[in-house]
Amino acid sequence: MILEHHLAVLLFSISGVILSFTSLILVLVLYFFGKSKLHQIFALFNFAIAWWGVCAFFIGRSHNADLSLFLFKLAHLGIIFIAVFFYHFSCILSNIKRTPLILFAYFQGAVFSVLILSSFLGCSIPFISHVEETKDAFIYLRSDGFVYPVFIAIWLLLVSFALIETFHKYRAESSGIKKNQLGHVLLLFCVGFSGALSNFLPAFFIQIVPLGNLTIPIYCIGVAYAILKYRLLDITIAITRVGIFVTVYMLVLGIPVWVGLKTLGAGLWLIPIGLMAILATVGPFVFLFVQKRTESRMLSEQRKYQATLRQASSGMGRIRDLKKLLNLIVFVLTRVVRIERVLIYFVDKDSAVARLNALRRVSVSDHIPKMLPLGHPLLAYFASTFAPLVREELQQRMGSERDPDLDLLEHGMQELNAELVFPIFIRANLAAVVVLGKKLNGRIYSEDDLMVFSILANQASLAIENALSYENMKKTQEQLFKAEKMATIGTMADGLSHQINNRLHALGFIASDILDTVKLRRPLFNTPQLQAVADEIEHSLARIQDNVTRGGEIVQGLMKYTRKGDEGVAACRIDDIVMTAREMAQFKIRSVEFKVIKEYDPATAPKVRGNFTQLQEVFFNLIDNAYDATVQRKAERREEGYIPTLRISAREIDDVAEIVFSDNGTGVNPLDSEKLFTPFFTTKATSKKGTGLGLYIIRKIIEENHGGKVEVRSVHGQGTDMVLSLAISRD
Amino acid sequence: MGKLLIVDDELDVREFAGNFFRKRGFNVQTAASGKEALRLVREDAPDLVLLDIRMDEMSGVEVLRELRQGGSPVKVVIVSGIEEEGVVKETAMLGATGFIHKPLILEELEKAVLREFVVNI
Repeated sequence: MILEHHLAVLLFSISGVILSFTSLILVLVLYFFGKSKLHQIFALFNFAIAWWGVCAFFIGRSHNADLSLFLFKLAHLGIIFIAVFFYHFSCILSNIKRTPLILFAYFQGAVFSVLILSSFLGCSIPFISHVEETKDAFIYLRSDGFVYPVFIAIWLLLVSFALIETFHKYRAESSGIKKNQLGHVLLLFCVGFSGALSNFLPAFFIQIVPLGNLTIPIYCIGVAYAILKYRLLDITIAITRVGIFVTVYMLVLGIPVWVGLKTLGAGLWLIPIGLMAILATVGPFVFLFVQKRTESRMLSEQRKYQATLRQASSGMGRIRDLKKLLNLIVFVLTRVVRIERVLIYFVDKDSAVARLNALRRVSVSDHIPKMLPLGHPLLAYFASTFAPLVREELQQRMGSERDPDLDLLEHGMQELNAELVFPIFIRANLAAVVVLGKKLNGRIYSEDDLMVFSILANQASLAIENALSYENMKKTQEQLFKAEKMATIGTMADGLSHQINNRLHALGFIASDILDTVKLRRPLFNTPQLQAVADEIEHSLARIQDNVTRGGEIVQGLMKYTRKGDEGVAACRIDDIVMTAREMAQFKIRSVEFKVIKEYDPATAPKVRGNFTQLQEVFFNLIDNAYDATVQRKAERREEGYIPTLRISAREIDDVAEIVFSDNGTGVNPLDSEKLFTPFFTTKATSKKGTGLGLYIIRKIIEENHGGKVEVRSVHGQGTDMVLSLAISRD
Repeated sequence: MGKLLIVDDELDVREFAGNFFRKRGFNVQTAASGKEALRLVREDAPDLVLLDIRMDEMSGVEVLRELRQGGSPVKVVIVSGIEEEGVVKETAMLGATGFIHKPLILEELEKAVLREFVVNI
């Protein structure tokens, strides 16, 4: 013996402690960070080793043959399963199906375990029979009979198979890092098992203190290192957590045991310490389990928020329809908090209001405004503030400071029954406000709520912008398509209308000529019957003539619209347009009473950008309409002192010229106001001729060709204001 | 009565307008093309020409221009479809005395024609 015997025995004990330590570390690492079945089995494997290590330690310290035998039996419960789990592990690692063999492994493990357990109950089974004393130590297990050799044979076979499987897997693996990992593990397994084999030697009368156990910690540390360094077994771990845990564990348990062994030697005190060690090992598991449970209970609210937000962000990005998107936002909000009402007002700059675009509420009884003017205190508030507005806070502030603005805000919130209002901005412009009512559970809005809403608002803003630009794009595309279509129709219309016009022309002449003949030959129709025939012919021909003329007007009206940009766009003096349009209208205006009053100063009135011919057409139509409306009023009502009048005014608003044609004619019947701009709609008395194209063409010319606006403001029975908005030209 | 020349490439227009004015005692001639119109003006010296603008080969404007270049002072009333603004100006500069838009009925044409003859007389 190179080593003194009792020192070797001590070393055996220590190796037991170290190997159980290191194995347990592996178990912990695998337990906490492993996810797959592979990790579970590997953890069990290491636990079995640790089991053996703990028993080995006590065997080394035992001075009693019976205790030692008991401990050996206990130790074998671990040893048996070292091979079983190792084999199972290697099968999973190598990705091979060996179900019968695995089942056999577990089966034999169970059988041998039963043998050991039954020996505890007093059955004498020749498996682990006695321990041999050597110089006051009982570390040599002796076994009679054939069972133990069979057990060892199976054990060795399983381990060998496992190593061979792993080796095959190693050979088959082509990719570099995986191969390295496997090689590493294989080497460590070989190191560990070669040492472990020394434990079996005493059973075959070779009495060597099994210091081979010392190789097992090398294996454990190696694997742990590989896990950390090379992400072995695909486990990523938080080094610090485990590191701190292990260090503390070693300090707390390792030092007292070491000092105790030094001063007291081995004794019964080791039992409570051992118990402590076991409890201390179990403790963290319990602690972590309890922590996990309580945390998840406590954080369930936050988790819910997170889940909802995740869901929202993935949902919102996909929706391109603005209406649907706003509905989704409302839905998500009500998922986050059970809430009395959610309203979203979407800002519409053009009409200077925020419109109610989506809502969800519990009670339907109360009134919710469909629109908020942009001057509404809530909307005004978000012109300068990005933070959500909480009514609670507002009321607190009202208590401490006197500010009429705060009262206005409070009033605004009250009006909407709002408890919380948060804005959605798109590039620093207020796009929408989201109004939230009371929570159904009566609680107030927490900091968490506000944070979640602000995240939601950011996401919503991106999604809304996305949806808006998509809608814009679609609109532009449609316009392009329409423009293209119009261009085609435009070129066709020219030739087509000429042809139609010529047909109408010829038709008119034919009818006129026969009518003329009938009239000239009237004396020939000298019986009452013949006269009736002549009357009928005359009437029919007159109708043909009438239809020809009206058909011609329609064709010309259409041509005026399609033929655009003949003269290009230029700065046009309003007075010039009015004058020429009046001249055109002069042919029709017979009544000397009809007065056109220019309320603008021809010299200073703004110039507008546009196509003179087209604008002249528009002005002509408006004068013509005014004339017809006044004539109609005069004819229908025969008012005393009524003077048919058209007032034309022009003023400048920002960069837009607003030109108003204000007549005192019949006005527009509210029932008709919707249809005014529809083609072929006319209210003009049938005796007067109306193509129904006038306003339609006016709108096309002003809005599509000039980017301006036409508005009708009318009081039925009193008159009509036609308001044109056109871009001002500074040229 | 006066001599009237109707220039139009539409057979129906020539026939029925011709009939109409003949009934009123006009001496009516018709031309189906610009060339024919030029020849008839040269040969028969009408008092008034009713001239269509859009015709194949030679347009009404060209006919009028050629007439003026040939020194003819004949009165011309333009009967036009939906032509451009430019045409009105151009024909006015070439001394057309009237400009009426198609489609129209013969009574209106008669008024226009009579006006010219009244002025003439």
